[in-house]
Amino acid sequence: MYNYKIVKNLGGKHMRKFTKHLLTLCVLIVSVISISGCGSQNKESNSNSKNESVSLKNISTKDLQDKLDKSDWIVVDTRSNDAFNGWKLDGIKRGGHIKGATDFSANWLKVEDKDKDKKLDEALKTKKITSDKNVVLYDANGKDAQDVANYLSTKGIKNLYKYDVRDWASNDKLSMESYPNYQMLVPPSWVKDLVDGKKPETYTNGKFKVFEVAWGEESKDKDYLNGHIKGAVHINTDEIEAAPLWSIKSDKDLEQFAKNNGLTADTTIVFYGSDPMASYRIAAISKYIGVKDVRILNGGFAAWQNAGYEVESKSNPKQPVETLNMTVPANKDYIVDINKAKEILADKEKSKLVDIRSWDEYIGKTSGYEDLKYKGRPEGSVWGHAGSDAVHLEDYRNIDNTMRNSSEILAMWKDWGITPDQRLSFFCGSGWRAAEVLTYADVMGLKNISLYSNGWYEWSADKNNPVESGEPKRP
Amino acid sequence: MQNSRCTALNIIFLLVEGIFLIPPIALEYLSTRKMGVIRYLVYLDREYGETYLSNTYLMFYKIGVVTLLIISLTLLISYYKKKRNSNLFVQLFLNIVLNSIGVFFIFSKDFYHLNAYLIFLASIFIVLTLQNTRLFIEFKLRKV
Repeated sequence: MYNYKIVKNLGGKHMRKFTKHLLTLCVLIVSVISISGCGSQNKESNSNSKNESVSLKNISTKDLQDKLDKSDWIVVDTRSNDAFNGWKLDGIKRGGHIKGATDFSANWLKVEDKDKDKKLDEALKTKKITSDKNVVLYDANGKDAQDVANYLSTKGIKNLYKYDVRDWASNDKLSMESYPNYQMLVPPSWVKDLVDGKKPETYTNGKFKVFEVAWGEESKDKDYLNGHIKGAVHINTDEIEAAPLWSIKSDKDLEQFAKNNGLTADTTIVFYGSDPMASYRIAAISKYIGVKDVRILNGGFAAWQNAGYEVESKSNPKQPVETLNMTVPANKDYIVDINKAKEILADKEKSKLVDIRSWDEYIGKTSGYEDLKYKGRPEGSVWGHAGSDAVHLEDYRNIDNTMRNSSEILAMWKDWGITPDQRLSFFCGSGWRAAEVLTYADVMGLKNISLYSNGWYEWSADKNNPVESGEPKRP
Repeated sequence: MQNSRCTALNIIFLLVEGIFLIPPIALEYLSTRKMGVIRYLVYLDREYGETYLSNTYLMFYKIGVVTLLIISLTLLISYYKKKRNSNLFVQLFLNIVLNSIGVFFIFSKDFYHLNAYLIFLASIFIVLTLQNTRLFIEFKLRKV
């Protein structure tokens, strides 16, 4: 009994201690939850305040005209890349951008990319959109400028103005510029109008074909099988190039390729793909063959998907033709062979053989390909920039895979002595990256341009071809 | 003890042989789905095909697998009469099966079109080497 009492008392004392500790623990847990809850509410309220629109000052057309040449002012086109290039979108009277403006599209803010912040920061730096400047953001839909302004304000850029470019475009006396061949890169809305039977801007032919381009058979192309643009037919890039060096096929084979796919001179042909590079490759070859109206979906299939347009999954068969009504190749200078490439190299003053490979490939640190053991470059070729490796082309593309601003491309080239008045022939490993750059050069209106399609694969295969490596002397 | 050692050896060898069969199957599957894979296989073919797939080498492979098959069959017949050791028979039987597959693969022209043909050939020879090594170990263990 006595022991029981002691135990009971002791137990009671312990129980009280335990209860005290338990209560203290509960209070601590509740406090931690409350504090973190408050913290997240604070974060939420901070982000809410970020989502709140930054207020923008309006600027008149006259003031904008006056400020265009001022070094402490910068005019930024926030519309889509297609509008910047030259397309009349959003009801605008004239296509293109205000002469002297740079681009920072609101579409870039919606891209999902793991290095998005870094890439956008680099873009701001390259385009000199900095906090010490007065920044005029213009759009045509009343939304893009605000989206970009909200983003820029988070980067500490506060002197922000907005402008409706429709006012500028409606006055023919005010300069707007577009790329001479902007129509080669088409926006998704243009393709949508085309496949819906409408007559979009610059379409005059009356007949068209849409092709989805990728490596591999249609039955294995999951991008095509999962959904493609209505009426699109699959093209396998193996139809135009062959092992072992992945050289472009003979003119006779290319003629057959054109017949198999119905690529005639007078048909508007639209190419697109999940990997835009493949579509540029086929586009360059189609132009070489003689197709007069070649278009590529700017930004690839992702642009179509982002526009929210429907896709179909039924397979569309090729529609071959018996005759092409043209001699193949009709545009023989568009793609050159190794002899022509050597001729270009020999003409140091007026011509350049431009290497569109990564820096490491150019200096011979890597071949760039698992199936190519030779490293280096053709002796005398100049570096034209490219990307991080053999399947990327970041130096020529915006974050949404649309074409980079031509001023920036020309500035990149100028550093390496490449100027638009020269005869330029682009090459890479086997012609994919170079085909995309060739198309951009074409869009920009450069005349004397070509693709050395067989590239480093072919050049390095013959030990008699002069090769060099290492960092070159900058011009 | 010896039985458990044999079982462990069987498992190890079978696992390793299985592992060597995975790369050619995987590469063949991917060769129609990934451009980089087919280009790499074409490169290997270009680099090594002229040597290792030359007529002389193919003749050696054919003689090799047929010889191994004949030896395995002979051993199976002679030890079936002399001694009935189940594990030895299993190994001999497995040897015959694998060698038969090797013979069928090398003699049949149907497999020449495989994109990873060279890799398949290399894997089969590795597997046959492993299996014959296993058989040799079995003979040593049994002191037959």
